[in-house]
Amino acid sequence: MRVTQSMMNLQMLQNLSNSNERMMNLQNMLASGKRINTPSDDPVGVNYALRYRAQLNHLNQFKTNADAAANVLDFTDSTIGQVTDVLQRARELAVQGANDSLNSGDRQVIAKEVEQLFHQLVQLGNAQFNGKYIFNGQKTDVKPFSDPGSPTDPTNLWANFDTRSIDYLVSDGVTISVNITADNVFGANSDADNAFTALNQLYTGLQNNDTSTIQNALDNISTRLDKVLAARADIGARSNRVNLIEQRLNDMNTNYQKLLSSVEDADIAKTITDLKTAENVQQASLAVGARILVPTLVDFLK
Amino acid sequence: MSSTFFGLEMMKRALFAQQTALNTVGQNISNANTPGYSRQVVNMVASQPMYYPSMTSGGLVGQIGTGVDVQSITRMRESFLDTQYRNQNQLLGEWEVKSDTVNKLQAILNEPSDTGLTSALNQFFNAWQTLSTDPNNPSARSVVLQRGKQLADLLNETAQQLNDLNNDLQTNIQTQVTQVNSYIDQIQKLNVQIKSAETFGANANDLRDQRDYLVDQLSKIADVKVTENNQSYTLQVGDKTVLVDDGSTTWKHVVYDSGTFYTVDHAITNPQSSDYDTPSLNIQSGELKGLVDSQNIYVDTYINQLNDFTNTLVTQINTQHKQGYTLSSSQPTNVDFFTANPSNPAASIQVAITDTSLIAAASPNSIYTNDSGTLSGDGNNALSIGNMYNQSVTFATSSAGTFEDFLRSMVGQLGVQGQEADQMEKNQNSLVNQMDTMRQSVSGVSLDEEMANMIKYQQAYGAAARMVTTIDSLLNTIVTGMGITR
Repeated sequence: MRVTQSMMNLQMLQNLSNSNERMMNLQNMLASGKRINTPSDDPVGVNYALRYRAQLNHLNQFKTNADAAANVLDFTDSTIGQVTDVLQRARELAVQGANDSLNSGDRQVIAKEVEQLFHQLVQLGNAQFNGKYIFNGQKTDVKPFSDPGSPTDPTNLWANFDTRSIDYLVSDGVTISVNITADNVFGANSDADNAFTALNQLYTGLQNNDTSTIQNALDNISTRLDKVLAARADIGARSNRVNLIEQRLNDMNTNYQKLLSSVEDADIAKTITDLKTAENVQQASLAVGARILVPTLVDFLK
Repeated sequence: MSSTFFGLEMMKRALFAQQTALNTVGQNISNANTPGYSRQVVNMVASQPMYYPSMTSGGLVGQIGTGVDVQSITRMRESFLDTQYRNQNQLLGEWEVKSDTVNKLQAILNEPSDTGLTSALNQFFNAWQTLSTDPNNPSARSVVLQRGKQLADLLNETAQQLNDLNNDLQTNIQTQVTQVNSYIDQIQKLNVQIKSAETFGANANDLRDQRDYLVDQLSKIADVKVTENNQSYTLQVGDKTVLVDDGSTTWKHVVYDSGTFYTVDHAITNPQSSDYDTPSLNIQSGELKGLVDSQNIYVDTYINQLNDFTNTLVTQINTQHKQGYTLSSSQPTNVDFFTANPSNPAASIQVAITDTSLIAAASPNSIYTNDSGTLSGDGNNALSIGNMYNQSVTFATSSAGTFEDFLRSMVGQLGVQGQEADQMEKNQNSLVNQMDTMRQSVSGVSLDEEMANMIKYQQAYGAAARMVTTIDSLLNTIVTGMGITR
């Protein structure tokens, strides 16, 4: 084949431009830390990268949702704990009041404390988390109980009443109810062992010096206490579930980060090695270019 | 018996011939870097010999040479390689344009990144999820509004950029068409010049080089075919003959009108559709084909897909949103979240509401109608919208899937197209280079070769001059020395 100077010139330019392009790609990979910078770098990989990115995005949101759920559940748990304390004290007082050795004056004194307990229970029923009433279903901006001057029947207390559940999305397609409604803690109005009914009963019994009513109240408070404990156990179980989900979300987050990195990130050691190789090739082709481009017969004719 | 001055005459021819060859060397060296130039060679032949008469036999003893004759100066060129080069060059032109377009599309879609459409879409759904956990929180509401605006803005911007790209391609087609017509005109002129120059047998080497170079350039823009006849080129662009070799004055120009190419008489300066030749012109490769395909196959497809995506998104979100309850009313509010013009949804999508209290976060609930209060803790409608990220929906231009699936397949498709275009461009580039190298191997000027020739012709010239001196001294012997006695 006949070879001319311009052919060699062209060939060298082509090779130089190829090695420049290779170096540019590698430098781009190193600078961005990413193996995939445009979809055409790896059409299949980019599909996975987008999927993992989106998945991480969702996981972060679920984590936020689960954190919020855990906070509400923790607060509810401690509020129900206080309800338990109030009811336990009421039971002690009822036991005390049922004692036949007390006279009516003693019972009046106990009745005073029961009245205080009643008010405290109303306050607990109106407990707010982040400005939202936690026991009133979805009507979080409405006070569930009105506060009467003295213990009274629950029918006079319910201002508004909602029993619907508030659900948070904590995983793909998994919602968890973060609230417990007043009827599950304090009892429905018609329940004999409604906490307010029972306290009212105890209060009336003490005031009227009526031990059989006090005895009734004691039974009701006891059964209510069991139900409150059951409600607290329910909240505790949900809280546990949220914790488990949070842990799983964290694990998945780590996994997806790893997957994303394996698809998208450049292998730095390999890329640097490749870049070094490309630099060597580049220098070699420049050196060769300097040799072949200069001499022609012209240089030797004098 | 030849003439006394026969030798002088012969050497004069030799001097002229070697000088011509040297001058051609000069021409080759001068044009070593001229694009399209093919090296020229001087074809020398021994000139017509004379018969040498015999003294004795009355017959002829043989022929005596009369020196050298420059028969022709021709260019070294192989038209087969030209055809090969042009066939590859038109594909290179096509894929260069396509690869360029796909790269621009990749920049417009900007994936994978934290600022692309998929990110904005996820942030939008996330905002709804946050709202569902805190439905009457004004800041959660305004985040939903902002994320909605962000998504709408990004869709508008992407649609706008796609539109701009389409307009750029349109302008480029017109520019290239003008270029094609200019090449056709120049080739026509050269046809005429070459024909008149070669009427008397000369080779119009340089004009032919120019003409071939023009066809080379034209071959990058469109698929061309040339056939030579009577020194003229018959030129075919696409599937139509635009220039006939008979030197007639009726060659054609190319026009591009609403997506179709036509040929039209060159003399019509401002052609109307009634002037177009039918059927229309079909261009099958080259930059023009690349530009048209870029518009039809790439950009249009993505505009359509983006519109389909936007349309489906607007419909789905609005349908769900309309069912919900806002803060300020106790009835389903029937308010749209997004608005979009159905004819160009992606470019026109906007968030329809400005008042955050009009966001319908609460679910339709039967108890609600018997109840005068608002359900501030009900985020179920927001949850339904926030959950849509995971729901399969039906699209017009693609199989059913989530919104994210749709975007992902769009990006994947672009990636495959980008890879194909890049590889085709690289392949064509190396093919064209290879063809060019092969052509250079035949037609290119080698300085080494020219230098060697230069020495060769210089030596021959010197020798011829030396011969003249010798003949001169012979003549001197006769003219001044003969007949003189001492």
